[in-house]
Amino acid sequence: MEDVNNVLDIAKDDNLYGEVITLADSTADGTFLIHHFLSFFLGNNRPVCFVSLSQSFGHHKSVCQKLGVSLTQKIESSHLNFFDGLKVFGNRFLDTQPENVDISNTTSLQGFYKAIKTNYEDLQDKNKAPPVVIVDSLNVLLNIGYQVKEISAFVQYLCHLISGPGCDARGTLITFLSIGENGLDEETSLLWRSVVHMSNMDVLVSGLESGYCKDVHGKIEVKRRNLLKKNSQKTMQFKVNDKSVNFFASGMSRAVLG
Amino acid sequence: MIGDIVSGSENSKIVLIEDSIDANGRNVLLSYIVSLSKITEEVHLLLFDVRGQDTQEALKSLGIQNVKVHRASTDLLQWDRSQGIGLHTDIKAYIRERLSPGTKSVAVVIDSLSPLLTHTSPSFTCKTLHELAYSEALRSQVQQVVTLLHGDLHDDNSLSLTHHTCTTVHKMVPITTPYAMFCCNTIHKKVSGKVVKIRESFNITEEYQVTEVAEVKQMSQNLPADQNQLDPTANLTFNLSLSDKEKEARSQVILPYTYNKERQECVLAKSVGEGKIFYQPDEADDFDEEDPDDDLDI
Repeated sequence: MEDVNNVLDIAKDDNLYGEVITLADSTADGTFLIHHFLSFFLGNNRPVCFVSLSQSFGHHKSVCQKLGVSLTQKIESSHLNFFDGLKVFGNRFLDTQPENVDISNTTSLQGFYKAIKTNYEDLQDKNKAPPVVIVDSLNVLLNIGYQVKEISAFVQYLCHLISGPGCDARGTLITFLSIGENGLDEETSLLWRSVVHMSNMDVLVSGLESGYCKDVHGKIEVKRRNLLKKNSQKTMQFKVNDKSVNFFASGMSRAVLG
Repeated sequence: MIGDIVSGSENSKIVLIEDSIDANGRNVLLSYIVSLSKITEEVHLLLFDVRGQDTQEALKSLGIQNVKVHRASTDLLQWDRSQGIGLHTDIKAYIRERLSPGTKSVAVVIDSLSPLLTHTSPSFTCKTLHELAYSEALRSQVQQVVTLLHGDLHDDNSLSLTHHTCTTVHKMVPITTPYAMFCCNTIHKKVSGKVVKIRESFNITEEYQVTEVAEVKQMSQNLPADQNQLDPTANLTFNLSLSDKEKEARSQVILPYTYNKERQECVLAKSVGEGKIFYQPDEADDFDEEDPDDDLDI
């Protein structure tokens, strides 16, 4: 989805080494961003460690197929490691111990982190390019009952996992979070703020203040954090189609301009 | 004020820079580090935050030699069981061991204090801050402790306890004017006991020097006096006003129960003890002095 790259100021062959990106949605659905990044990195032959906590493998497979990426093929060629969070955490509730993940501790995410680390290092060994970790989504961890500070520490460990010794060896971390209607859910907002403090770029997708619209699904705000240079911020409106997303400046939708 | 505190001409033992996702405070922290590297012999920088690596890279690009960086962010809770420091380390003892022998003035900078405040208690954090600045254990003299804190990650109670421990608090706010880069509210407790509260806008150069500090005066929030009182008698379909003639007639009206000259004389002339009726007819009355029963023939 090229248009998404343009909005995020990412070039087609950008590798985003060492970047931590936070994706969030409030009143509109922002999951198109996850599929975009998934297809973007897999298309660029970057290995991806995809931690899926909210959707099954089948769902992602069918969406990526529309975008022209075959997930099963990528798993076979060791370019993709799909961590099925639904199965792993679901089985914990059913008291069956998962094979290689130690999530018996209900307060600490250390076991979960170790499992992802193993997958990451495995991908690192098998591929030249440094892997990308995509986590979808952090809300599930909150809903299961982990505390905000625990999840925040987990994300911090992931940030350090991807930062390798040299500039070229750094991976990328992308996390997704649903913060609901602005500020109403205190814990989710707190978790979002702590993850944003750790990231280089944060993207927020929200619905229009006037409500649902068929032609304009919402607005997207992109903020880049750089140390001394002025933090750049971009706001645009969008409409999600079957295989692409249209972006336009606020109020400039073709449907509105008539 | 902020320029003076950063440069060291205004003394402050513990400085807190409180920022949020809308207003970044890392640049101010770097200004402090650059200034402290010139004033003190050694600056020990403790990194607890992920973005501390930005601070580290900026310092590397400036080529400052006497800043020692200690990364505590990589293994914060000891999940990797590495040999590094984390939240479990006794910071005071750790720094004491790493001081170069013979150093007389040292500064400690923390980026940031938020992981400490989140994972331990406010009292432990305040105690740690206080010990770093004042304890005898650090045999060299700690000239200043500067720390960054993300104000939007903690509750008011923890924040106010931490503010109380510090001698200066810079709270970064989003900049509203176009000609400056940063704006912050500063509360500084002077050595004499006086507390200065000031809101300033400033710029930071590429060498991390604080320049162009200007006070931002708060626009007074007085409600303007209601000058445009709506006149309720305007725009009516009936007339509520008086012409001049009518005003004159109104002033001539004698009110019924008031004293005027004639009534007063009647009252004063009465004899005490006798019930007498004083009848004063007004214009509409048809006063006839005659006895109406006179023509009765009984």
